[in-house]
Amino acid sequence: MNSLDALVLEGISKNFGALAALTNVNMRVQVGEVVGLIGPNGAGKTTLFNIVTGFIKPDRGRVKLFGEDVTGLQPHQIAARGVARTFQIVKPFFGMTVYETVLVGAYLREKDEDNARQRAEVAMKLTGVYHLRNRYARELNTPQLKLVELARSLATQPKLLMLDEIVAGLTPAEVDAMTALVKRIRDEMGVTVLLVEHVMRFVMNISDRVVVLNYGEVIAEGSPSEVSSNLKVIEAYLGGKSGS
Amino acid sequence: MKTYSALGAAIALAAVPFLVGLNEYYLFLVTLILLYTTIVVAWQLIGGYGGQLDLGAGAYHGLGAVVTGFLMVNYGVSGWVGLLVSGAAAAGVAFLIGYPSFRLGLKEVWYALSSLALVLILQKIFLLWTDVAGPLERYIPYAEFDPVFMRAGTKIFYYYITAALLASTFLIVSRIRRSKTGLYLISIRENEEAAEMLGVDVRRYKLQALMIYSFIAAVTGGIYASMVGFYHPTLFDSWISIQTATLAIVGGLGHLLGPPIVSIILLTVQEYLRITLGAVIIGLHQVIFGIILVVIIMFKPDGLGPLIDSLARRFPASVRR
Amino acid sequence: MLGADFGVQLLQTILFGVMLGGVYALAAMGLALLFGVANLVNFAHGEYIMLAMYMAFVFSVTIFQDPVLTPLFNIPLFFAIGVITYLGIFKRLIKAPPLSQIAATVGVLVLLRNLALAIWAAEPKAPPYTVFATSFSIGPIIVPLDKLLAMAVSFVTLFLLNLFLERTRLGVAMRASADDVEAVSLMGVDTNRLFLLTTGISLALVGLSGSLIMTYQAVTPTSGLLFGLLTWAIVALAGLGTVKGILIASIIFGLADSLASGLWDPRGREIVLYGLFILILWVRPKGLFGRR
Repeated sequence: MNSLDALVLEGISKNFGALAALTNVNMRVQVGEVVGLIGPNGAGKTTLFNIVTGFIKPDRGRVKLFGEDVTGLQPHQIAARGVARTFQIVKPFFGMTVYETVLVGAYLREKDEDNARQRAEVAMKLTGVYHLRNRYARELNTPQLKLVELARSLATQPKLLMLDEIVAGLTPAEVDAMTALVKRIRDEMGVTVLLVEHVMRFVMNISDRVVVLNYGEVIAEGSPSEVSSNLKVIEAYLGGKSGS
Repeated sequence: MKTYSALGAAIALAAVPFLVGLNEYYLFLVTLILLYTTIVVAWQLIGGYGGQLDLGAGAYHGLGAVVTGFLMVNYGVSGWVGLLVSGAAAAGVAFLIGYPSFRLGLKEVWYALSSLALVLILQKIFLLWTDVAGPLERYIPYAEFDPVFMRAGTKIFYYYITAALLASTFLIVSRIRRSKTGLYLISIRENEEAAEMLGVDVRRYKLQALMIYSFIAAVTGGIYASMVGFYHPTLFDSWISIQTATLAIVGGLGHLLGPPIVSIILLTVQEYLRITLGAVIIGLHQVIFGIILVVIIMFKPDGLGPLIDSLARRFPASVRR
Repeated sequence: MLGADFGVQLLQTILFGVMLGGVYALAAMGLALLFGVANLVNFAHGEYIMLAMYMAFVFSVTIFQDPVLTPLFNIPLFFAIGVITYLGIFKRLIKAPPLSQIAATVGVLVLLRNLALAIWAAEPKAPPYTVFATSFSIGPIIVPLDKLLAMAVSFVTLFLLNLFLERTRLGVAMRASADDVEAVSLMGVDTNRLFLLTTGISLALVGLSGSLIMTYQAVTPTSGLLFGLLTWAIVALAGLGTVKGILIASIIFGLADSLASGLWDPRGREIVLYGLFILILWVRPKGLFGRR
């Protein structure tokens, strides 16, 4: 156990009935790293995210966050320990304005209303949604909602930021913009990033390290160039059937 | 600017008894309307902000009446103390039923059903519990004017207590709305999972909202019992639960001004219908309620809140949602 | 009361409970269908049962002298009511969030309850006479014929319903819809028509159950709440899976009802039933098939 580890997964296994979603997954993310998690559909990536963030409990194994065993804690407790997460399908607060949405995140760390407002404004400006602050979430399109979701996550001042397919459905130009934004977030806020993605352009450009999941198991890891030339990985993506 | 409209509302409230010519019967009706409106305003915490369709108002209101009445009758305890004790009792019951419900993530229909079941369970329990209530009405000792005991012969006494309660409840709810708690509650209503991921302890906030609202609902019950001078298990009335939720929804979930305004108007209309047509067709006033609810949900699911808000914006002091 | 006397009383109570459960099962089945297939939360289900009981009363008083034949009228009548309710209200509610469905059907609840109050007033109503008001004995146990008949009718109907759900195209479509509505519509099934028929069948079952429940108790305008909570409780216990599940859950509740009335106090009956409901909600939260 390294004090430089933001996240450690030890022997994580999870079954849904007869389906083995994750089998003995071991993984570590070091502080300051950007780690990309890739794999075919159904490989278990979102399940893994849900386990780390406390929405699901693993059948076996432990989750350690900054040295602390957080296995089995509730999502809000995990959030309080410095984890923020965006969702694969955005979960906006439709009846709230963008400002109010991001404010909810800010209140995690800032008890005082003025400080929370400041924190929210910083997050909105960083992600470029400040000009939308008084619009209601139900008026926005998907790319905008993704940015708002990112802003509200950032307002919690996370140490570990988890992005679940954040560039899915974006145009190449938007993907590049998001790449630059995530790099900026990592540099300016010093967060560690763990992301799940299908869009290779994004993952390979931004990750320091890539972990490949297939059928609930880690089949490869390494630098982006190492992984993309790895035969097993190519097979997983091209050959046979994808994991359920 | 906001203080002007608040002042105006306060003056209007204070003037009402004189507007009805100090008629005892009308004072009774108006007080009753304000009591039920108070429950509606408090209900916003769990229903409008928390997003749970709670049908337990009848349970808490009834508990307030029975506990306050019991203390006044059997122990000669002042009604004021009775209000506090019954409020605490209601909050306690709310905790007992809310804690497991929220812990286990009971949603929507199941929460609504279990809160409705609570009303009926309490009614039957108190029907059987003859030491405290039982099937016969229990009368609270009469006093011409005893403010310490909280009992009076004239309804104007209760009117001002109720008006003060309504005003305070409104202030409390609007304070909460603007606070972190209010924001958290609305985030829970909008998307629980997202809220949780932002560090919101969903269960805790729902429970808080439930307990505050149940306390206030109980207080209305206690005032009612003292006003009519008796209590009985039929005060655990599912109609109060339904009426409260209906008025809050029609008034606009989560809106501040809509529910109380709609409450006062519709409750007045209901009383008018009951007086004029009630003898002819029993329950007609409630039928109208049912129709209004169905129509509003089908055509204006957000209730009348947005409409009232936009009207309110015409006035200098807008108390928006 | 110990010994043989108590034993007999207990057996008698259990028998009543099972028969009662059999009848409740029909009522609960209607709810399970609507909730399962169309994902519609009908808060007014109990009120429809109450209405069916009143109509059984009306038919038995005006037309037949005996409530036994009332299903002949009640079933088609309530099927029609189901169709009308669907076209008028439910159709719009299918897409709405659960909160709206609950609110709107609460409106229907209020409407029906007060309609009953206005028409029939508050005194309980029961059919005056039935040719089956006899009973026979098995040893010391008395078996009332009318209740036995009601249970038999219920079982047969549930059996036929099960066949329908498993063998017919419509039935299979309904079951598929309970699993995955989108898939069903993608396969070309007209979900509108499916839901329309489901509502009709659901209420037809209610109509029949109304006639049957009349063999046990009289009806008042407030009966709706009891039946509503009861049928929802049965659905909570059974889940939406199978007819058998509903039957078993209904019998459990029928037993609880009968035992509470017989061994404790008839006035305590509702406390036991609702308490059991809440207990089930707390003990089996995952068994509550919350699709949303």
